[in-house]
Amino acid sequence: MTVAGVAARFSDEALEATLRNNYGSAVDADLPEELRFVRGVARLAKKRFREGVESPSDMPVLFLLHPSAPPVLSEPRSTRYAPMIDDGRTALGRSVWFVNFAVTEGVGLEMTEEDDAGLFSLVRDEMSLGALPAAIVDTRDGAFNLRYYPEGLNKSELRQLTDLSRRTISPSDVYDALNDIYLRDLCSPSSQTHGTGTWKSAAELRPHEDAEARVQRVLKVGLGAWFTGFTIREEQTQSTGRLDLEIEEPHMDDASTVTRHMLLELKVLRAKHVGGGAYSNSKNLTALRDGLVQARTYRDERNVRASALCCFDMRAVPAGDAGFATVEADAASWGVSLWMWHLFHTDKDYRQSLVEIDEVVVDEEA
Amino acid sequence: MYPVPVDAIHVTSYFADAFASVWKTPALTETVLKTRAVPRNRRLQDAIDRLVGRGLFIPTAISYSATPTGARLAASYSINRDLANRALEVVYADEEWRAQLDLTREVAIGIASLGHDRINQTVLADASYSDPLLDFNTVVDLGPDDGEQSKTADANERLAAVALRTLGQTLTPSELTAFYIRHLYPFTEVPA
Repeated sequence: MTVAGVAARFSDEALEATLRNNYGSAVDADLPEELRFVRGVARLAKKRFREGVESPSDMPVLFLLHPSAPPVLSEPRSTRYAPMIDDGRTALGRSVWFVNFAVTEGVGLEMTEEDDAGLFSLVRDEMSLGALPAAIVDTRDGAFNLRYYPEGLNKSELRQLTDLSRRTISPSDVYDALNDIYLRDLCSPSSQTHGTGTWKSAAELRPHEDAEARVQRVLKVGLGAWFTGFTIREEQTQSTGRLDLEIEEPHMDDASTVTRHMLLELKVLRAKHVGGGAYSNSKNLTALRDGLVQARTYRDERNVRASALCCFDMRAVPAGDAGFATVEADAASWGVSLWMWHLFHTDKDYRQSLVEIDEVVVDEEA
Repeated sequence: MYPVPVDAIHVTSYFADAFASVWKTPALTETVLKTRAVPRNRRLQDAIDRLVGRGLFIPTAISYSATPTGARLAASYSINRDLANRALEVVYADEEWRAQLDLTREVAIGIASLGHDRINQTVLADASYSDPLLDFNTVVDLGPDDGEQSKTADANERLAAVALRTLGQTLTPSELTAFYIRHLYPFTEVPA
């Protein structure tokens, strides 16, 4: 190999071609392995089936999170090894795929079954792999669905269904997702986990120094599970700054071009510094103003369809939507959504808030 | 998991060192002797041997092959999960070790995805290792300390710049690792 040959090998043009041909590789590397698995299957299925690269299969395509050779069956079947399966060049139909959690290589086992019952029996009974995370892509009868079994086909009642034909995400879809993640993983000290908890000392209202990054981490994982067929990106840089979270979808005819559905700018509102000193309200108001401007300018620069300023209020008394009083007029004229969630510093306060909500509902119904 | 051939472990180690600056983690070894085959890291081999002795690595397919200076032991290794999980828990609890483990994992996924018969070829196509200005039996420096950076790090930096300029995307170290290794694929050949 000559010097010129090596230079050509790593030229900008050659690197760009690699980027375009492999777009989406390792984009989920920081997500939990099982989430990475199901999202990898979704991305691969869209490459193969959504634009008709591969015709709909008369049987579902089954993926098992099992990065080893298939077990030996009583009646031997053919297998095929598929390196770089994620590039979408391998025909998937009529196979049971044994893949790694990144879905970058796999072994396909010939599928001779003619119905779902036979397929389930193959995995559960003959191979005894019914406890493995499994994902089924179903393209029959005009459908394009992904059924995910996080605890395997043995517990089929835990199935999670994703419509892979879905092409749009609205701000209200994202709000619903964030609200669900908030209720599960953020709302109270007990709902938070050790590694991503926002409180240094909840009882003293002292937030972690990197509370915002911790919220971002929780939301990224949660959105990844909620929007299985879409890409969740964080910390994207442009000339106006660095955005927090973005939901996008690659175009199937050119995966390196994307539709950017939603941009989220995150702010944590605090009562105290990490050391316990009072955090001035003017700093919180400045954070709101900064966040609003960021949500607008990042959206416009990146041609994102919609944006929202998401605030997580760690103060003792929740401000609610009234906390947006200083920015709501500009937000309305700029088309930026304003969303607020309260991170209760005691479980008791959170419980009390639920009771108060119930009382309001009863009053309204009366 | 499949038992991993010893050469594949050394290839993984090589790229983990080559990507260390991209991931902002310390490299295990910054200098590698360039040969016509997969570079062997003596420290890594010693560590593998110790892990076999402690029962954490299980060797299979053991064989010897003649070399110009004697004989070389080859084997494939799998992890004894029962014992290794405790060690991995300790690794995961340390931020720096965890980052190194994440880097190694992404390298392993990347090179394995090219096909098991191409793994050894990836090193020979790497920007630093294939530098035509470096003769065989000279040292490949993956972490120059004279203000320069390795050719692998340079290629990754340009990959990141191209992604930002043409696609508007800021790539993570994981993505850079995956893209870079995929970039080597056309320059690898399945051994006859």
